[in-house]
Amino acid sequence: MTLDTAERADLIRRYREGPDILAAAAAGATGAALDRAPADGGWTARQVVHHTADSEMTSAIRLRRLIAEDHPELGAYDEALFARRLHYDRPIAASLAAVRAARESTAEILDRLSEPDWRRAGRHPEHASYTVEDWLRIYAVHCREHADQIRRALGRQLGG
Amino acid sequence: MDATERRDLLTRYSALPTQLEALVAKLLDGTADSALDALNAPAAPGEWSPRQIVHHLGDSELMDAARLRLIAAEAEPDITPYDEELFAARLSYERPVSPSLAAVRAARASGSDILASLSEQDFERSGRHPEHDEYTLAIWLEKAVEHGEAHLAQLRDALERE
Repeated sequence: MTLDTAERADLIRRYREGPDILAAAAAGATGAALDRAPADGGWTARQVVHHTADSEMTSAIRLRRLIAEDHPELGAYDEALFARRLHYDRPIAASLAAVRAARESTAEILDRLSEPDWRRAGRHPEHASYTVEDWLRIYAVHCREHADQIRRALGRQLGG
Repeated sequence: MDATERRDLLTRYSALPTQLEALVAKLLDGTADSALDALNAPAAPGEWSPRQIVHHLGDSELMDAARLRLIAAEAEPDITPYDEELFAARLSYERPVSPSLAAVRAARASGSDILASLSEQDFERSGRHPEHDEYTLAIWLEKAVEHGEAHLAQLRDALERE
């Protein structure tokens, strides 16, 4: 199913809003709050921020490969292993900045894509087909999902 | 690589964003990042312009950030090279430079945080790179630093040509 121009513009707008929504969810949280283990046994707010940064940088590269290369192999990574091994106990500022920079630079590319570019496809181990539009559908909501996860971990009200 | 060499490389790794931003500011010399400025002149026909170099650094630093994480976290991960000329040709390298400068800064700032937390043995972890027989984290670091500095030198040359 392909997107029409208005749907695509709406998803790009949501993609651009992601960094603000993520930063707002974690804003003002103390170190202790960021490290509090949620009742469901999931990640702490701090771990979610680092995961989002690592994932968004990978996502930015996937978009670039999809546009620049023909049928690229879009490698996966083990997010649980990343969380254990990449010192997710570090301060969150650099990761929030990484999310913003990955998205702002990628949004500039999205704004300049041609109609055929949106149908370019790559190979992803977890998805049968993976077009540029599929990529946009996934990442348009990715920051918002993790912002909600951060709010839950911090015991905050979910965003509107 | 001994501890002193590594410390030196880590310092140079962290220093790049500020050096890069200063050079781009000098090239712009107070003018806006428009289509007609010093950023668009290639050193020679067929070579990259300063603008293309900045976008190349933005993209290569995002790529390097991902490689660092893969090698530090996973066991002998496959590292997939990319075609930098295709990236330059197809990813609208005529766009404004500031988001790519921010990408370089963010990739190196978060990378520095990770590198600072790694143990000495972590630097011997390696990935499989089709173009290198050995690709340890120590080698990754050395290549990242040299790559960034080589492009800084190109931008300094561009400034001198003005």
